[in-house]
Amino acid sequence: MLEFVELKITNFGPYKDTQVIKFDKGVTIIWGDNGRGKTILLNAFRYALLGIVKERSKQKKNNLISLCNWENIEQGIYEFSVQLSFKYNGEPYELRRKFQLRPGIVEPKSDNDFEEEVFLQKSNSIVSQNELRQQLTKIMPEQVSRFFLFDGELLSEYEDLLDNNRAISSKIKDSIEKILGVPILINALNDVNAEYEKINKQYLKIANKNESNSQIIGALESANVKLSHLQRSYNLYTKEKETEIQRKKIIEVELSRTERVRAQIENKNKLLQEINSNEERRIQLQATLKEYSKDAWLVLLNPIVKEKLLMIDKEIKSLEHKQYKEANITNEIKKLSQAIHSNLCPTCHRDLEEENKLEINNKIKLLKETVIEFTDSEKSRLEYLQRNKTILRAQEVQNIKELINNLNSQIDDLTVKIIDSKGKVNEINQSIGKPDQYETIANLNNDHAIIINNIRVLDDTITRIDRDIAETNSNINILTKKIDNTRIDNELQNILTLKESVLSLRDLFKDGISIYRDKLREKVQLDASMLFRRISHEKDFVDLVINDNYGLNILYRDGKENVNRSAGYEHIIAISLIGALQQNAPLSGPIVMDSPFGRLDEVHSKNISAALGSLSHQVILLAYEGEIDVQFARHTLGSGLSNEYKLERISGKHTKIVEFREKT
Amino acid sequence: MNDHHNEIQNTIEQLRKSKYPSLSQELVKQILEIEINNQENRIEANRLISITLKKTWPGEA
Repeated sequence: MLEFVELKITNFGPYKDTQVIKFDKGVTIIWGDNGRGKTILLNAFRYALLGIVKERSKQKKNNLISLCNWENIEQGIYEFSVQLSFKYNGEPYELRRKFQLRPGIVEPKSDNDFEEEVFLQKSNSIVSQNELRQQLTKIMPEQVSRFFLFDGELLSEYEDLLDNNRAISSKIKDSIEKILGVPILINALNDVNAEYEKINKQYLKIANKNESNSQIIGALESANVKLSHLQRSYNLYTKEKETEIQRKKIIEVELSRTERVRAQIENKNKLLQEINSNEERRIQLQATLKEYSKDAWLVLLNPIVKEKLLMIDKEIKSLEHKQYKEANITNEIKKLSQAIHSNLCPTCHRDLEEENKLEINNKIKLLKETVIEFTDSEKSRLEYLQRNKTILRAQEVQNIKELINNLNSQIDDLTVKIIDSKGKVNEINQSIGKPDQYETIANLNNDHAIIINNIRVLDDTITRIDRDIAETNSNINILTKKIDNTRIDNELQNILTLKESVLSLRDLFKDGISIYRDKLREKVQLDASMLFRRISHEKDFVDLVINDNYGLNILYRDGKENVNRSAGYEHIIAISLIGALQQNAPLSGPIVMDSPFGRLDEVHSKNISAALGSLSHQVILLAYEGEIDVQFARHTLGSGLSNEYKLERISGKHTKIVEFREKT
Repeated sequence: MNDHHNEIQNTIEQLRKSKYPSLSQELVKQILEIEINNQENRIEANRLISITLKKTWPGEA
């Protein structure tokens, strides 16, 4: 286990003279605004341990000149040094690197104008220059340094682990396997294999001593050469098949992504149709509204019209009553007169007696006296009033307001629907991205079909080679037995036994690598998932799934993989992977993180701050105060926050490291 | 030797016991120890493994 104790930098970048940072177990935060030298400080660790610096920009070439103190450069002073005190497996080490100009150089033009002095002390003894490199490689192999010293800005390269076709993915995979200890087994396999080849040659040589065996040995050598060719072909085609399978997986992910796009395009067309029909309906309603609005002013006359209508109604009723009454009496008189004229009772139809006639005449007389004539002028007046009533009823616009309100509400509803649909269309457009999706989908389908065919052909070839290997092995066995039967002496028997043992050893390590890799992947997936769940606040993301390259994908609650993760989530996954590797690696050490929160929102930045302590036994965080809240970091980390420093600006070319808070 | 190296040793030992019982436990352990201790020095690892295997060769013993 590696543990930093102290970093002493002298005239390094903006750090003038000698400045010191002390480290304890737990989290050390070094606060610094942009441009104060956080990345240079990360490079100070990298430079001390590996003798190299890593620039974010690929343009810069003369690294060493840029690492000399910027104020000193103006005075023609070109030298700097970094001293790192650390413990490795409990033993104290002190490592110092110093760069200065070669004798005779006044102003350097390139890195070649500098010379380096490296000094390493272990406990109380100085490590020789011959052993120094070996010791440092053991403590921090460059290949795995990316998991200890990492630049937040460069975390995106972990995304490449998901793409098996990229060179960087296999490079990072090798680094991961290195940190996890897989090379121990790979080296064992290679070393045993090398020994097997030597032993096999020796075996053939011994067996050939017997002249009677020469023919068999010749056949055996040919069979061995054939087997070796077959095995090479087998490995080649198997690797090619693996590549095709990975390509197929990638295309299938892409196809599932485009399947979504296809569904989105269909949805978009449906929405566009809805927008058109709603816009047409809105135009119709707006025209009706315009029509109604022309008479809307009549609403103002409503009270007057109502009052007038009431009066007219009253007068009409009175006149109609009079008319009705007059008509009734006249009708009765007419009926009674007819009865007298026909001499028949209007009720029972019997002949009228004189007495009855008298009575009816009296009634007619009485009726004539009571009847009030409905005059022509009254009749005209009634007709006039009824006409007016009809006209006024038409003018009565009490419903127009309601109609207008109703129309406006319908228009508003349609407008909301149109805006909503247009918003959805925009979202879909943004999500779909490029317009040439259909062509891409067609190409993907085509590629997919080709790959499936390739895999089938490769499968057939592999099966054929496998059969040939079995046959050749069987021939070798038969030939070997023939040798054994012809002349078995102690020497031959011994080497044969050894050969078989070494062959078993080879198979043991071969199988062991695959078992150990599966175990590691399972553990890394489990630990990374736990850390991811702790950091992520998206409840639908339940797990991470690992691929052959240790690339991690997010798994939704419904079991599907997220193929469109954001840059922020990329960052969270990279941090989860780094934490999981630390937990599973034989090599464990401090994690130095430069600006790890750049792409994250506030919630995730806070979640990561809270999880910092569980990433490693020692975490050194280089951050600016806006990246995470100072008080939040202090509160969350509590006693886990061991030291705080601040990069204070003295000038644009001079930064001073000061303790930011007294230790608690 | 740390926990992870033990994990490697245990994984291989379990496999040896179940699938390659005729192989010597001591020999397998020795080979892994050589690889663990000489990760950064391939030549030395190769040399030590060659010696270890030769020691198991009855003719050389």
